[in-house]
Amino acid sequence: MVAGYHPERPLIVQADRSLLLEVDNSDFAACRDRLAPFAELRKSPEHIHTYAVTPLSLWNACAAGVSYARVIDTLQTFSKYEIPANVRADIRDLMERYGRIRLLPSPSGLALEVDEPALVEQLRRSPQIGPLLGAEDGAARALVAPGQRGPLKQALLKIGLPVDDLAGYVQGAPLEVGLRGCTAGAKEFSLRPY
Amino acid sequence: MKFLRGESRMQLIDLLKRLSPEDLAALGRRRGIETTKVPDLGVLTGQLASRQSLATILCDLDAFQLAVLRWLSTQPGYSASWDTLVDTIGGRVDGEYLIAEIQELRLCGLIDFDPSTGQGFIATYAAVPTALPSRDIRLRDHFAQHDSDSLRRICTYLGLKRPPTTRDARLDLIVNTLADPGLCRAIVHQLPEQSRALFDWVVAEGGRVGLDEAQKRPGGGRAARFAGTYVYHGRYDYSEDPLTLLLRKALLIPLGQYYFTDLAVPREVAAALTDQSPFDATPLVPPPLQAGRAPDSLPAGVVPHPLSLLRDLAHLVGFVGAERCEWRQDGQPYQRSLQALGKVLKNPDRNYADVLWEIAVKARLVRPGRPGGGYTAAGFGKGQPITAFQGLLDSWPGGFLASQRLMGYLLAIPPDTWIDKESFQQLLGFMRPELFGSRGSVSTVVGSGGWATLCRLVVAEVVGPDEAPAIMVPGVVQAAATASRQPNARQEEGAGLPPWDETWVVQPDRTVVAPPNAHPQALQELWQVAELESNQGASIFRVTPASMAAALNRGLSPEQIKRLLKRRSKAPIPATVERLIADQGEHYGRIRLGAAQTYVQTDDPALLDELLESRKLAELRWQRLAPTIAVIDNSGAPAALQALRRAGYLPVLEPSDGRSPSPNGSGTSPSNKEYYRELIATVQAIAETALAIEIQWRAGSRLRKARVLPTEVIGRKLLACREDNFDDVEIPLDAVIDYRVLVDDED
Repeated sequence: MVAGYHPERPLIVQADRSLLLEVDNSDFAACRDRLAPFAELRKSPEHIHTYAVTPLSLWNACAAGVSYARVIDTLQTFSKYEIPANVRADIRDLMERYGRIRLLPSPSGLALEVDEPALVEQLRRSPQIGPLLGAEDGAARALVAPGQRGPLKQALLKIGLPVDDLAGYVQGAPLEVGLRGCTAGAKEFSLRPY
Repeated sequence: MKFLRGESRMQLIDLLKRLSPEDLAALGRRRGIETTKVPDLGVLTGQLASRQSLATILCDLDAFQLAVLRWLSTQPGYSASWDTLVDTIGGRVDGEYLIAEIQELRLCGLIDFDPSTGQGFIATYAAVPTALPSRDIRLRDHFAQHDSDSLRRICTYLGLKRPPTTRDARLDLIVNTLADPGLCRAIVHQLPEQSRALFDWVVAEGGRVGLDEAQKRPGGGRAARFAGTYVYHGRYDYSEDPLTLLLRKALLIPLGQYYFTDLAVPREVAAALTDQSPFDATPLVPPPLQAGRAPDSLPAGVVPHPLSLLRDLAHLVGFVGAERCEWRQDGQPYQRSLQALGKVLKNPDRNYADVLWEIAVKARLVRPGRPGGGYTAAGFGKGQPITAFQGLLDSWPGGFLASQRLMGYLLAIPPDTWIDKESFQQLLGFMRPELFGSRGSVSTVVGSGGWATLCRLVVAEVVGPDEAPAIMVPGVVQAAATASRQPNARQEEGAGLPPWDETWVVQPDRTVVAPPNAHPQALQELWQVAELESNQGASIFRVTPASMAAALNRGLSPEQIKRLLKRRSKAPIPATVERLIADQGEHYGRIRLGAAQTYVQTDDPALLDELLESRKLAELRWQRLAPTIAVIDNSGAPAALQALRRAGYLPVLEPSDGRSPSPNGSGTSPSNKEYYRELIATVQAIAETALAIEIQWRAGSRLRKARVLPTEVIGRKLLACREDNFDDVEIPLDAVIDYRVLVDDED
C-alpha cells in the first residue's frame, strides 16, 4: 500500500482549494456533511460534485466555531491523495486572520479592536477603511459609529480582514403597525380569510 | 618505507601491491574501472595514472582531501611522516575523521599511508601533484621545462653550495629551500634594498602583478621582456637589475608565452613567508547546513511533486500529439505555443512551459522527426510513476558531472526541511571544491535554465521573510528517488507515489475528470477530443463543439470519438455528450473542397464538348462543372495552354485580377523563367501571324510602352518593329514588365 494514497476514499483536494467529491462512494454522505460548514458547493453533476474552500466560507466556519484542526482533519479523513502543501498553508493563514479584528460594544456606540496597534494605523490610512473609523480609543482600538457597522465589515472583508462581530444587537423601540378599515376610495378593506 | 624522507619516491605500483583484493575492487568502483579478481597491475597503473582519470577523480574530492594532496605536493619526494601530517593539521580535525578521509584518498588510488605513531607515513606519486588543479604558480610546474644548467645557476644564485648533479635533485633542492619558512625568510632578508622593496610590493599586491606596473616601480625598469632560460645565464645584460635578481632567485616567476607579461610569487614562497600550509587556507570539515525560513504562505506550484510533474508532462505530450503546438522553421516550438500551454496548465510561473519542454526533450518524451518539422509525442513507455520519475531524474544531468553531483547532494539533504541556500552552497564548495568551489552559486554551475529545471524536479526555492533564499526537497521526491533504485517489489511501497489510474469520469455537464494519478496515455487521449479546463490536481477536460471539430479534422470519426471516451470511462457516456458528438459528426463534411489547378471556359458548350472528347487532349484530366466550364486538376495553366495550342486551338490565359486575357496571362513575375519561356514561345508564334503585341519594358530608369509587330528573338533580345511608324526596336527580354497580344477588334 502506498503511503498517502487511499483510492477507496471519495475526495480529491486540489491545489486551487477546490474539492472534487465522488458521488458513487460509500462515504459520500458523511463527507458531504463534514464539508458543508467550511466549503461552498459549486456544481453537482451526476458523478462528481465540486466544492470550493473560499476565504468567506472559512471565515463563516470560524464564526460557527469550526477550527483549523477540524477542517484539516476532515480533508485528511476523506482525501484520496495527500493534501497539497499550499492548501494547508492557505487554510491556516486565512483562518488565523479571523479574530484578529473584533467589533465590540462601547459606551459611545461600537469599537473596533485589533491585536496589533500598528494595524489600526494601517487601517486609518486605507482610503476604503479610514473614513469609516471614528476617534481613537486607546492604542489598539478605534470607535465606530453604529451606522457604519455594515459598510465597515464589508470593506474589511474586501481587503481580506474578517471581523469577529461581538457587539451584539440592542432591542429597538416598538413600532405600531395597523391596517386601515377602508381604502382611499372609501371601499371596505380587510385581509382575505384563510 | 623505502620511499620515505626523500630517499626514494613512491610509485603507484607500490600502493596497488599493498591493497587487498577488496580494496582493489573498491578502488575500481571509485575510478570507474572494472577490476578482475587478479588484475594486471601494470595495466591498472596506466589507467589510474592517466591525466584524464586523475582529473576526473580530483573533481570528486572534498576540500580537506585536496588540501592533503596539496600539502603532500610541497613535501620532499611527495612523502612525509604521519606525525608531520598530524602536527601540521594541529588537532583541527579529530583522528577518526582524518583516518577516514585519508583512507578514502587511498581507495581512490591517490596516496598510500600508515597511521602508526613514530613509523607511520603518508605519500603520493608524481602524477598526482602534477594533475592537481591549481590557480597558483608552482615552482615545479614553472621549472619543469628548464634545463639542468639553468637549475644549477638558480641554486648558485640562492647561495646553495655544491648543487646536486642530477636535474631532478637540483629542482628538489630549489623547491625544498624556498618552501622552508626559515630559509626562505633568510633569502628574502638578504635581498638588496630595491629588490626587497619590489618583492614586498608584489606580495602586497596579492602575489601577482603586471610587468608594466612593475617597471614603473624603482628597480623594475630594466628587465628584459622575453621569457625562457636566458635570464638565468651569466651573459644576460641586466644582471644587476633588482627585478632580475628576484627572478634569478626564483622568488618571482615570469609569466607569458613569448614575452613577460606578469610576475608572480610562486606558491611555495608565498606559503613559506606566510607560514601557511594548505590546511590554513580552507575549511577542514564540512560546514553545517543552516536552517532556512520559508514565507508563511507558499505560492501554489513552488513545492515540486513527482505526480504533478508527470501529469503536466503528460499534458505537454498530449498538446504536441494533438497538433496544438506550432513549429518554427528550425523545428523548435514557437514561444507563443508554449505560453498558450502554460496558460492552460495555470501555473503562476511564466516560464513553466519552457521548463517542461526542456525536461520533456531531455527525457525524450517528445522527439524530433515530425514530417514538415517539429517534434512528435513519444510518450512515457511502460512502467509505473516511480519508473517514469526516475527516467526524468536520470535524464536531467546528462553526462555533466557537476549536474549529477548537485542532484545527488540535493537528494541527500534532510527531507521537508527548509535550508538556507547559502549554507548549502558553502557545503557544496567544501564537498566538491573543483566543481562548485569558485563558481559562486549553484545557478552558475548548472545555468539558470538548469536550476529552474531542478526547481521543478526535486527542489523548492523561496525567498524567506528575511530576504534570504531557502531551499527544500520534499520527502516524497526523496522517497521516490530512493525507492526507484530498489528492486521492483519494494519500489511502490516506499515511493509514496500512487500507481497510474487509467480511468476517467465523463459527466453530463460534458466535463471529463481524470484523477491526479491519471495514466499519461489517458491524458494524451483526452487531448485528442477535449479541452483542458482545470489542472490543479485532477485534470478536468471539457468536450466542446470546438474540440469535437478539431478531433474530426484530425481524422477521427464520431464513432471513434465515442469509443475513445467510453473505453476508459467509469460511468456510461451521458446523453448530452453523445448528442454533441452526433451533432458535430452530422455537420462534418457537408462542405467539400478539393484541389483544382486550371479552369477552362468556352463561349460555346459545343466547343467544350469537343475539347473533352479530343484524343489529343486525353492527357488532361477534365471535370465538367457547367455547360461551358470545366476544370483540369492534373495540370497547371501554362502546361494546359501549351497542350491546347499543340492540339490546334487558340486559347488565352485569363489573369486572376480580371483584366483582359492574354496568351500567357499578364502579371506573372518577370523574374520567372517560365514567364520568359512563354514570352519567347508567344513571340515566335505571333511572328508568323500579323498580330501585334502591346509591350511594356524598362529602358534605364524610364518605363516605355509600345505596340509592336514581333520579328524574332535573338539571344535575350526581342526584335520588332513599331506598329505606328514601323521603326525597328530591340527590347531586352529581361526588361519586359508586361505584354499582351492584341486581337483584331482592339485595333
